[in-house]
Amino acid sequence: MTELDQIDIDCRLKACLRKLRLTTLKSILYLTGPVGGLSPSDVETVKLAAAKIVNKEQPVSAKQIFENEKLHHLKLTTGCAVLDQALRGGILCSGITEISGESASGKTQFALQLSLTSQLTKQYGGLDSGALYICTEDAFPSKRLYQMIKNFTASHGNKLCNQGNLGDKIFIEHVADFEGLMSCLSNKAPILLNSGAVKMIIVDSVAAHFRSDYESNEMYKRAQHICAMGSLLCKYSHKHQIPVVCINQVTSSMSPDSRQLIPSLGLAWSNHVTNRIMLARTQRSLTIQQDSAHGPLETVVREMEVVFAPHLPTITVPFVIDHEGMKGFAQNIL
Amino acid sequence: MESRAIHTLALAPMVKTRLHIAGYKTIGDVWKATRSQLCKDTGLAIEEVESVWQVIENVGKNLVFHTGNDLLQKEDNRIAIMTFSERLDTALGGGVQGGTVTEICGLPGTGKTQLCMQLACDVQIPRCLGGQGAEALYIDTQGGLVMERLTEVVSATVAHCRQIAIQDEHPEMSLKLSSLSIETMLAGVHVHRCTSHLQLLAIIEQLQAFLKANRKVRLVIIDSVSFHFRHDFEDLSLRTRILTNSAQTLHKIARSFDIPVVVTNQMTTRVHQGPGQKGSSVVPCLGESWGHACGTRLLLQWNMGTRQAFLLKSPSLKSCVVPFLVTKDGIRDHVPSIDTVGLESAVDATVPNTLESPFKRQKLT
Repeated sequence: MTELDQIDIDCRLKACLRKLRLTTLKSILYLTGPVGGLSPSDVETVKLAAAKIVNKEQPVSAKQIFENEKLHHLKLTTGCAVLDQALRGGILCSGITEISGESASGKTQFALQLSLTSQLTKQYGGLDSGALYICTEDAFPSKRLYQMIKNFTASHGNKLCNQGNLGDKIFIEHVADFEGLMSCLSNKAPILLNSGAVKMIIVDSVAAHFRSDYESNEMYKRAQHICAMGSLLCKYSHKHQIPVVCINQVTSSMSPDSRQLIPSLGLAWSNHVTNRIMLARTQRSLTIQQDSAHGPLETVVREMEVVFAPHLPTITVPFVIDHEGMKGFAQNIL
Repeated sequence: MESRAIHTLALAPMVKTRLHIAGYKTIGDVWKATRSQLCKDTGLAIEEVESVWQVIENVGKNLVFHTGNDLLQKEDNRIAIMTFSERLDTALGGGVQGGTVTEICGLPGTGKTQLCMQLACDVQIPRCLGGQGAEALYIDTQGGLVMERLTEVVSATVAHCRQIAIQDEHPEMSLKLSSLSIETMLAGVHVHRCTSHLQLLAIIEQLQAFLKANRKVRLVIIDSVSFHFRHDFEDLSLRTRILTNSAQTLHKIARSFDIPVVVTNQMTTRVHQGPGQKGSSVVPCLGESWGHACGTRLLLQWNMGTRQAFLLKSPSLKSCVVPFLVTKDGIRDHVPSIDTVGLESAVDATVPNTLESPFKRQKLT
């Protein structure tokens, strides 16, 4: 049965369409004017009938969506009350959240922490499920993850969705090039997502391949590849209502009236990003008291800045990283 | 009329060819013949000949001409949707105009979605306060419509309207406003989430039927129109053809229902080539032909720490640049005194609401 048979139109129009070899819904919706035996009004009828099959949904009122969202908690906690407050509950479960920053600003820490908090039960702001962690740059920091898991289990043990090892629910994939990334995203990711094993995708980082693998005369191809990746990630996010976290590098901007460091990959990528968060190191440092086993630790103060997000004002929150992970604090402590 | 050529009629190309080959060049030729003769000459089925007759009989029937004066009066009666930023409204000639397609373009994070949310609220303001008391259809392709934020804007708008009513102590008005609440306003935004360009085409195709069934909906927003069209397309000439066709449909809808259609568009980099033209610039997506398709084009941009709206194209207004703010409550006027407060901390969301008198935006006639 072809797609043409599903369309609710009379036999004469069907015969005309068959003659013109317009048997897919796509080809019918692409029609822009009268062709063959179809008059302008016939084309309208046919397109409307095809549209009814492609789009079966009716618009929902914002009120209904709002009430639905209240039932399902749609934010992923960062695991730190101060950062959660700044992000109004955490990472948004629709659209791509980009975390960018210079090297050693804490991007990977943030991502690791999110892969742990996603395993909290919904009651505590988690997703009750694991994460797919795609590594493109360096080797996956498994030692650090292990350390964080130990601390995280100790402090949040009763709030977790499974009592086994947290590491079992983080699926790590190393990819070496763009083709590898796309095949991982288009083949492996759907299996994990459909089985419900993961409810989050982390790409660390999106920039690595795109910044090295292309010659300067291949910029058009590069932009196309970035678009393909971005739209695929967007699709997963909306289809499964999951957060997609992408780590991005920064690049220097030459224009005098904008910020000095801007996230890399340009507009082709930025157009896909829903929430943009930037991390940075500051010149200040702070001594924090840890538990008795570790003693005091002097650490550099970093900053998290919300550059844009549809639901957030642009704000900056200082934070530090200790053995447990990221911790935001109020500005006035300094 | 009799001398009108057959090939200008709204007939299927195949039928036209058959008629032409059989020697029927004008409407007069067809009139002279009987139906059975037409069948014999052209080899068309009797139903097809019947439809040809129908088309010919309808020619010139629904032909109504409007004078410029009529149109002017119609335009005067039209209520534009205000944006809550007075300067932006002035730049747009009172707000977002009905009967046309308005495009809002800008880089990510310049406030496109925020402006759309504000419009979806403002269209619902009761008529007695200068609004339309209507509803909005929001087609969201990027997932940028976050309910949390919409609720925030809606509650600010409701509070604003109530305040005006209290200020005026108008019994009739407060009666009308009693039905206005956050719930009813949220219920008045119809949201369509769209995940592929094919679905977007289908939705555009179904728009007319939807608007006919829901007469209260008097604003259509597509945020953004370019998102899905930017990938999945190898054949760019096909894309242009489809987009132009969609733009035509949107125009038709805007005109026939006399409502504003607002679409947002992303930006892309254009590399200049050729002598004396090195470098690149940022331009709205979807190419030159799409640029012709929209009546009004508004570009949002950041400039020295403030948001600006730049009217790129308008059939009736001069192009200009106006600053605006996105506050916790939505789109607001940029009050110059804030400039001196310090751009360093220029986080526009922290600007206290008291700086802006809520009555400034009051539009009572």
